[in-house]
Amino acid sequence: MFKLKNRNFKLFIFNNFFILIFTLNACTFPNNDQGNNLVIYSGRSESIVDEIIKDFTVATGIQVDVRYANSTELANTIILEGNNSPADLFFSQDPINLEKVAEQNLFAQLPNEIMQSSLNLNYQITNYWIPTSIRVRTLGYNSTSTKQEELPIDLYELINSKYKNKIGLAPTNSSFITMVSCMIYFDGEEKTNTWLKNIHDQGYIEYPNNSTQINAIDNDEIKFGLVNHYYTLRYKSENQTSNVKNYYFKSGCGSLVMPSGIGVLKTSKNKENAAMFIEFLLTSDTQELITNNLFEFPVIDIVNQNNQLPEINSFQNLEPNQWLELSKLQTKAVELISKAGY
Amino acid sequence: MTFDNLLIRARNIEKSYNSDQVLSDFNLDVWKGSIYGILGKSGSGKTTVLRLLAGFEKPDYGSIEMRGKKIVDDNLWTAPEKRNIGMVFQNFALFPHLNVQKNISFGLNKSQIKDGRLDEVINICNLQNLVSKKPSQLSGGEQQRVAIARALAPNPDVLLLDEPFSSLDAQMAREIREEIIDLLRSTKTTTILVTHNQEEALSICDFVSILDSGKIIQSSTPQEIYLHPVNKVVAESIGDPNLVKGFANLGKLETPLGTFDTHLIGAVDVAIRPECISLSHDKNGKYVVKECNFYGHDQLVYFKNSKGETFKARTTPNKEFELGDRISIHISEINTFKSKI
Amino acid sequence: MKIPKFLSSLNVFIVVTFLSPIFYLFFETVNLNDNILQFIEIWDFYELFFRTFSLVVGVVTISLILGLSSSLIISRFKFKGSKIILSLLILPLVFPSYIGALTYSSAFSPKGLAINFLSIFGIREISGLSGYIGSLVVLSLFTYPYVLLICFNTISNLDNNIEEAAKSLGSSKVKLFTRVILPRMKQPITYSALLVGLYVLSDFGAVSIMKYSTLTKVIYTYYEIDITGDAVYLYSTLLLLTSFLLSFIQRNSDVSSQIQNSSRSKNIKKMELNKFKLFITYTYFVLVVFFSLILPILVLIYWLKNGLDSGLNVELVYKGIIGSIFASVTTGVLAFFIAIPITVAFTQYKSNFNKILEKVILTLYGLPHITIGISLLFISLKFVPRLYQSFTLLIFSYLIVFLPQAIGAGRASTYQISNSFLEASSVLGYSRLKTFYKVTFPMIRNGILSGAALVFLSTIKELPQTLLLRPTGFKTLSVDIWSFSIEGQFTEAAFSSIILLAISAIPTYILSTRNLRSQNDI
Repeated sequence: MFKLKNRNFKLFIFNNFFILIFTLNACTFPNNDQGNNLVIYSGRSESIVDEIIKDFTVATGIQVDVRYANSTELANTIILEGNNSPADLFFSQDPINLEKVAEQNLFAQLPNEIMQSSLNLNYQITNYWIPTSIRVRTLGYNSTSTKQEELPIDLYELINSKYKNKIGLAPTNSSFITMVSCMIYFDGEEKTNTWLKNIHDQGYIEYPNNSTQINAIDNDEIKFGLVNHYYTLRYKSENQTSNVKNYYFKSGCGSLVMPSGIGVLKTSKNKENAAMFIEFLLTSDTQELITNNLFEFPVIDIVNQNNQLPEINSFQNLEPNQWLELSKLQTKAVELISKAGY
Repeated sequence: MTFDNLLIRARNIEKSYNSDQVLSDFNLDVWKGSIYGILGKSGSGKTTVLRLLAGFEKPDYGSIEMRGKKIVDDNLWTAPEKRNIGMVFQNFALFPHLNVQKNISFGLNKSQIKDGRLDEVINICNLQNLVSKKPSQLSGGEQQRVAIARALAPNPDVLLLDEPFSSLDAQMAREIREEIIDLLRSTKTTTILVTHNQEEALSICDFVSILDSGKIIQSSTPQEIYLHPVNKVVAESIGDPNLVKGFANLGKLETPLGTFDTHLIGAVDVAIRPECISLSHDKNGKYVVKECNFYGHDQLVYFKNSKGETFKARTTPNKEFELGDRISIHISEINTFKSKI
Repeated sequence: MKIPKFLSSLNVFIVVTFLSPIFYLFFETVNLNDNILQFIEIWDFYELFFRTFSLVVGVVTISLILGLSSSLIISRFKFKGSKIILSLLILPLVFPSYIGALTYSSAFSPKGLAINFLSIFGIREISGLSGYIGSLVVLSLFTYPYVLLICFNTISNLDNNIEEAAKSLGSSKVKLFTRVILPRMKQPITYSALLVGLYVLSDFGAVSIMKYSTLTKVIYTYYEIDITGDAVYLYSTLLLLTSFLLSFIQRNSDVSSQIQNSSRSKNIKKMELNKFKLFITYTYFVLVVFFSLILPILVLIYWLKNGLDSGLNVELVYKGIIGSIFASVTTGVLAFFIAIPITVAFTQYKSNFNKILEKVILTLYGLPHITIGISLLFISLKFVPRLYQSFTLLIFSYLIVFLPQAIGAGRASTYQISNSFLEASSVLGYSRLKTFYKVTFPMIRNGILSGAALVFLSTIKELPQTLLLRPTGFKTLSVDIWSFSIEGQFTEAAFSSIILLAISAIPTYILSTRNLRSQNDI
C-alpha cells in the first residue's frame, strides 16, 4: 500500500531531526527489572534511613532502591501486591504494620544466621520480623517551667482544665495512632473515646508531627507534648541549653515501647542480599549510629550506650500477638480520633 | 475544429449526494485553447462539475475522456494526481508554510525547475518581486496570481478555475480579470471557469454553458446566449431582462409592453432586455416614470403601466426623465419562449 | 476523502487503550453489589459530598469575583500600568496548587511568617490556616487567573458600539454593567466557572496539605489505610462521574463557539478614573497581586534562606529534578507522536467517525488524576504485573490525562487545514503519503509541538498519579514537595518548589495565555 519514496523519507527525517533525537531518548526507559537492586519499602523517613543505606552500599556494593511512604500505606500495598510484590524488605517503625504483613503470610522465615544472632537482642522477636531499634512514647516537658511533682501519673491525668491549650499532639502521626490503639486494647473503647473527646474539648494544640511539638515545648508555648522519646533527645543535642526532657509514664500506653523492625518478603528474589541488609542493621556500627545520631534504643548491647536512655524493660512492652491485636484496632483508632473532632 | 482539438469530453454524468441529484445527464465538450465558462446559481452543481473533472469526486454514472483517453468510466477512475489538471481554488489554498517560490514550484520536479520552467512562470505572472514572501503577506490579487502560477507551472492540459474572482471586490476583480485572461490567452491554456457572476462569464469566456438544476441548458458563445437565450431560465441568468407573460393568437402576441408579431401560439414567456427599450416623453403615453437609478455609465429608468406593473429601461446617463413623467416606449427586440405550464 | 483503514484502526486502538482505566473502574464498581448501600448509610458519605461541593462552590464564586472584576476594570478603564498589572494577575497560574498550599499553610501556621508581620498589629497568635478556609483561599487565589484570561479575552472583543449606544441613551454605569455587559458575558463566565469547578474537584495536592477531606483526599486516605476495600472503587467512580458531568456540561454548553479570537484589534475607548477611584483600583490590585503572587514567593525565599543558613541537604533534592525532567520529556515526546495520527484524522478526513473520536477524546479532559492512578494500579496488579510500578505504566498514565491537551493545542493550527490544501496538493501530483510529508505534517507540526510542550509542563507538575504509580526509587519534584510539606520539612519543600517553578513558570505562562486566548483549552 505504501511505497516509502526514499527521498521524501530522508527529507522528513532531516526536517524533524531534533524531535527524533528526543524520541530515541524516550525509548530508553529505565526498567524496573534491576535484578540486582535491593528494593526496600520503608515507613521510616528518608532523612533517617538515607545515611544507613549509603553506608550499606559502600560496604557491600549492593545498590538499593527505597520506596518511602506511610507505614500503613506500605503494609497495605504489600498485602495488595501479594505474590507480585517487587519489594525485598519491609522496614517499618511500627510493629502493627509488620504484624499485619506477617499475618498474611507474606514474610519469609528469617534465615538461621539472623535467628542465631538475634538471641543476644534486648527484645523478643518473631520468626518473621526483627526489631532494629526501639522507640518509646513519652511525655515531653520543659524542666525549667514544670516541676517533677507536676508530672501526671498517666495519660488520663492530662484531663484537667489547667492544661487547657497547653497540651500538644499530632493526631495524624502514626505513633499517636498506635498509642490510641494500645489504649483501646488495654483500657477499652469507651474509656479511650472519652479521653480523646475530653482532650479535644479541653483545648489542645495540633502539630503536624513530633519535632514541631518539642520546639513548642522549648518555647513554652505548650506544657506537655505526646511524642516519641528520641525527638526530645535530638532536639536537645542541637540546642544544648534547652531544658526539654522526656517523662516516662510509670505504666500505661503513654510509655508504649515500639520497636522498629524489618522483615524479608516471601516474594523477594534477592533474599541473600536482603539478609545482608538486616545483618548490617544489627552491626554495632549501625546500632551506634542509630543510638548516637537518632537517639533510639539499640537492640544489641553496645559499648557506647547513650546514658540518656533509661532501662526500657520497665515500660509497656507487648507480645507479638498483642501487636497483631493492635493492628486490628488501627482502623477503629483512626475512626475514634476523627470522630472526636481532630 | 477537429477532434484532435477536443480536450475534454464528459458524457452522461450523473451525480447525487444523499439522494440530492446534483448533476443529471450532464455533457461537456471542451476544445483545446478555449476559455470555457460554466455559469450557474449556487447549488446548480457547477462546483461539482469541477470536482468531478479534477478527480475529487466520482460520478455515479458517466464517462470522462481527456485527450482521447478515457479517465473515468464504469470500471475506471483515475486519481487526481495522475490527471494532468491544474486547479485554482476559490480560497486559493496557498500553502501557508511555504513562500511564493516554493508554492509555485510545488508541482515541479527538479529537472523542470532546472530547465527554467519556474522562472518562466514567475515572469509570466509578474511575480518576481514577491518570490520570498509568504502567502499571509500578500494581497488578494497577488495571492490569486500565485495560485494561478502554481497551477500553470506543471503545464497542465487544462486549468480549472473555481469562482476565481469571487473573493475580490468588484473593482479589483475587473482589473485582475483582464490580467489573468491576457495571461491565459498568451499561454494558450485551455481553461474551464466556473462562476455565478454573469459579467465574468460573458466578458472572459469563448464559450459559456448555463447550468441549471444539474443540466446544461444552453451552450454557446456569450453573444449568442445573451441575444438568443433558449428559454426563460437562461434569459434570467443573463442580463436583467423584463420578464412578462403574453398570449399569442393568429400571429399576434399581446403583452403588457405592447403587441408583437410571432409565430408561436398560446401562452408565451417574453424577455425584453432593458437596453432594447427606448423612451420618449408623451403626454398621452401609457406609461409613467417611477424611478431613475443612475449608474454612471448608464441609467435604469423604472416605469409602470396603468395596472401598476413595473418595468425597466436602460438609457444614457443624461437626466431626461423625472418622477411622474408620462412616456411611451419603443421596443427593438424581444425573446420569446413557449410557456411551460 | 475516505479515511484509510490503518489510520482509523490506529486511532481506535489508541482511544480504547486510553479509556480502559475508566472502563475498569466502572466494571469493578458495578460488581460491588450489596456493599454500595452500606456506604450510603454511613455518615461519611453525605458529609463528604457536601464538603467537596461546598469547596467547589466557594472557590468558583471567589475566583469568578476576582477574575471578572479584574477583567472588567482592566478592559474598560484607563489607568497607568494596566498592562503590567494584567500580566501580574495572570502569573499566579504558574503555581501548582500544592506549592500554593505549602506556602500558605507554613506562613500562617502558629509560628509562621505571618505572625512576625501581624504582631505589628498586636495579633499574637493565630490557629493556623487549614481545612475549608485554607483550601478555599489557596485554590481561589491560584485559579482566578483562568477566569481572568477567559473573560478578558471576551470582554476586549465585545463590540464597544453597543455600550456606547447605551451610554448615549443615558444608562448609568451600573445599568451598563448589568443590562449590557453582563448578559454578553454569560458564556465565558459559565465556561470558566466550570473550568475552575473541574479543577477544584480534581485537586489533590492543596486539599491534602490543607487537610480538608474532599473526595480526592478521601480516596487517597482509603488507598493508604484500606486499599483492598470497596470504598476506593466507589469513591473513585463517583468522583469520575461527577467530573464527567461537569465536563459534559462545559463542552456542550455551546460556549467555545462564542469565545472566538478576533484578530481585528478593537479600538475600545476606556473610561477615565478620578483620584479616589484610582486609589481604590490600585489598592485592590496590589492586594490581589500580593496575596496571589508575592506572598508565596516571599515564603519560598524565606524558607530557602532559612535552610541555606542551617545547612540544606541538597542531595535529597537532585534526584527529584532528574526524575521529573526525564518523565516529562518522555511524556512530551510520546504525546507528540501519538497526537499526530489523531490530528491527521481530524484534519484530513472529515467524517462521523471523527466526531465520535473528538467527543471521546474530550471525555478524557479534566479527569481527576487520582482516579486514573488508582485504576491503573489495580489493572497492573491484577492483569499485567510486569507493568506494576514500572516507568512505562507511569508514562502511560500521564499520556491518558494529558493527551487531550496535546491535541487541543494542536487543533488551533489544524482548523486552518481545509480540504482544499490536500486537494491542491493532489492535483499537483502528490500521492496521499507525499501530501502528508509535505503539506499536512509541516502545517500541524508546530501546533502539536506546542501541545507537546504543554504536556511536558503538566507532567512535571503532576502529583497524585505519580504518588500512586511511581517505580520504587524514582523521585520527582512534585512528590518531593508534597512529602516534604506533609512532614513539615519546609526548607526542602521550598527548595524543590523553587526549582520546579524555575523550570516551568515561564513556559507555562506563555503557553497558557496563548492557548487560552485562541483555543480555551488549558
